[in-house]
Amino acid sequence: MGKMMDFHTHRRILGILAEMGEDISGGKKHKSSRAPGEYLNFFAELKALCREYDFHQAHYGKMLERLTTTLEKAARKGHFPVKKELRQCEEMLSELAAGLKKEKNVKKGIVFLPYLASMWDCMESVWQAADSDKEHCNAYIMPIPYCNMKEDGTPNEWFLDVKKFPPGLPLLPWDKTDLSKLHPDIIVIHNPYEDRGKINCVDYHYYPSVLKNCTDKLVYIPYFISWDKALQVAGGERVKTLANASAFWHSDVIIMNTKAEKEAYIKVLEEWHTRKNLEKRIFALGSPKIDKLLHTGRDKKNLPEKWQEIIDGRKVILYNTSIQEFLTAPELFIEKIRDTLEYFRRERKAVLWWRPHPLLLDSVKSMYPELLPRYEEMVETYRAEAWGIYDESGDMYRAIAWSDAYYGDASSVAVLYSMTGKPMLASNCKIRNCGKEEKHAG
Amino acid sequence: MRDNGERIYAGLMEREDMQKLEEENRPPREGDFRWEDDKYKLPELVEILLRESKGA
Repeated sequence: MGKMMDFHTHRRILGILAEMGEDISGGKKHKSSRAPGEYLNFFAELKALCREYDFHQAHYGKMLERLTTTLEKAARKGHFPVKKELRQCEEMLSELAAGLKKEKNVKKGIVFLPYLASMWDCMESVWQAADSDKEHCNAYIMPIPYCNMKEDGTPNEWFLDVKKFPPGLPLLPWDKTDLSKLHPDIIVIHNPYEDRGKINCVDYHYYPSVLKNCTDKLVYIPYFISWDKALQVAGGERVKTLANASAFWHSDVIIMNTKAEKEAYIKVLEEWHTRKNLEKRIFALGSPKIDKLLHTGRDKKNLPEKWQEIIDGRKVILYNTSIQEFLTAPELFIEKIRDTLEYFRRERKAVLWWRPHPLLLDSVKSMYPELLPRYEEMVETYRAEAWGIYDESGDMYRAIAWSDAYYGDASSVAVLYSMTGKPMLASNCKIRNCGKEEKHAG
Repeated sequence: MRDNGERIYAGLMEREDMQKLEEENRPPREGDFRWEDDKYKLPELVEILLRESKGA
């Protein structure tokens, strides 16, 4: 097989043929998409492309000759778009489009659809592999719009994270890309929800149930990775909740980190699907987040000077606060953060690197707005005093690399951190490091 | 050895059998997590670090 045609060139050709079909069958009042001259140039280009990419040129060549002659004749007589000689071409045009659609010598098109830039890590290494296989694949990244939610579950504000992605990535504009027309071979998502997201929600065009009709293969790579030991905690409630998300129903392929994780989800999903079906769709191939963890080291270029001054050669403790713990006991959680900050404000032998979950602030806003003033005041004071690091970047890997120990919630950051072998301590909201112990239950 | 991204990509492109690719996946070992209760508290974690730091 010779050189492969680019996916976007192939889709452009099919798009123009479809437009022409519509122009020809459009009737007297139909406004043509293009002038006849443009279509003639397109046929000439198509002929050259068929030669270049070793398509069935003898077959297509004849059709293109006839189409060109008919179109030239019609254009000379001013008969575009509806005259009968062109109508006679309709069948040939459909045959040409159907033949080109089946051509094998075309690169696969993969579109990655992240919404939060801070969650790009869960698909980044797959994109890197696709992007480096330029001979067989065209890989695109299309950040999609999402909103945060009001307390009543309706959209509050819309966001697009385009500017938060690393520079130089080939980003497709969402507002100029119709995925149902582009129909990529593969679409990769990390958003599992439809309108069930409590904190934020993607635009409905990107719901898994919609996307499955826009591609041959919808692939879901979860953002979370679970602690194998904790999969069955509380009867596997967390697994049960996530397994109900739309992506588990509509995706053709679901990527899990470990076999234990895969098995836990299959067990839950077996209630609605056969094991055979699930084993054809769910695969424990490892998380791209682990690739990122293993490839990120301490690079001073990525550490702001101000942070270097704060660290000043001391040991660093990464303080991770998650949404899960917040939702379990919101009041206690906020007080625990206050207690921890107070402890490190006094204890200057080690440096605190506080990294709240990227959606924590939104969660407080949408689910417990009465706690927002207290939370915001606490963050503002911590930032203003600047004795510790406040990390609101999407880059948890830098925080993992630069820290010497972990303190905080047992979230997916902790799962990754545990793989570094550095000391870890899970925080307990009921324990106070400064002042009185909390007596009431969470 | 290939990283997870390369392995997932090979599977999605149907170049290799997904079941076989699963066998190749060796996630790093999960470490131990101490739980903050009456025995372990935050000062102890700081102490561990400082001890290590002096020993280094």
